[in-house]
Amino acid sequence: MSSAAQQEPAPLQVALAGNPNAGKTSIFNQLTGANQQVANYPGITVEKRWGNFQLGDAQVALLDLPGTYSLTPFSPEERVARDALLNDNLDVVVVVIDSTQLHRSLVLLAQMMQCGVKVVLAMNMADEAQKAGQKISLQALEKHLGCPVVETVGSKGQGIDNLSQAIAKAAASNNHPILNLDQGLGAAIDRIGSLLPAEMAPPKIGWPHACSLVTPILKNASKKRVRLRSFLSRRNKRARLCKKKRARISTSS
Amino acid sequence: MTLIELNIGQRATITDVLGTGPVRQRLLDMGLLPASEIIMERIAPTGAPVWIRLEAMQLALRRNEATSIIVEPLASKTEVQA
Repeated sequence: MSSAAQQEPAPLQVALAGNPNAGKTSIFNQLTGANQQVANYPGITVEKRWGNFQLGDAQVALLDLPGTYSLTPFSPEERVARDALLNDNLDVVVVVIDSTQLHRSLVLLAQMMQCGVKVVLAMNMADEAQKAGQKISLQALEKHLGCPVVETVGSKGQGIDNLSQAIAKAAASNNHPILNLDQGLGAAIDRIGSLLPAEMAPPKIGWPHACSLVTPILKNASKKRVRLRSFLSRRNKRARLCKKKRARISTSS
Repeated sequence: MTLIELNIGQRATITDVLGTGPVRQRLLDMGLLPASEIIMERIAPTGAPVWIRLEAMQLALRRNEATSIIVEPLASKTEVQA
């Protein structure tokens, strides 16, 4: 995939995802040289913004997103992030986490890994974590997660080179892990999916996406069939994107 | 017992997060998952909101959110704070 992307003028599509106030925009600014507003409290970025940078021979289009705790949106800006992460055809997703808040941050990482996208984990605010006395073994994390892990300090620009190398490495690899935490849930979604029209069936790209397709259908279907129909037509576009993504995954694996 | 019944300084493990809809989803998303260990940090004079800590994360919860979280207190480690 990525070698094709390097030969073609089409840039690599990379997104920054993470909890609010994890430092996505700081890293965005460091990578692209942009000057988007950052602050030391959450909720600054409320829309998606593209930026470009050069990574070796490849041109990278980097997408900065509002923070989100999971792929189940709670607020409009979280919906922006969710839609971009699930529907934009991204080559790599960089999950930016606050190293001092591992417990909370790994929820989103797990969901992203279940979606089957190529994930790079950026452990941001590494200096803060060190100050707090945390010792994190990057090698051990890398081994258990199966995705590249780098330490960064977005505010000071540390680890940014390592991060871009990790992005390049992830984009070039065809072998990325898809997390499967719950066999039963996967089976249930597959069963519901088999009842949907073929182009709507949840692709094998993980339950968050499948849930986002299936659960609203169930909710709407119980109310009115008309609503279901309009819902289906609205989701058709998204389903086509899913199909594309599925094809992409099956060709790359 | 529910989270709101904990005393200040008491540690507990979450066993279940009750409720439905977005609020429950949000609590789970923020890492209030079964088997996570929390500490009751402070309680408002009126009994709620409460301030809990989960690893490095500090979180204030309303009464109805706190009562929807079922916990198992860790008895031996009760420590009273000033």
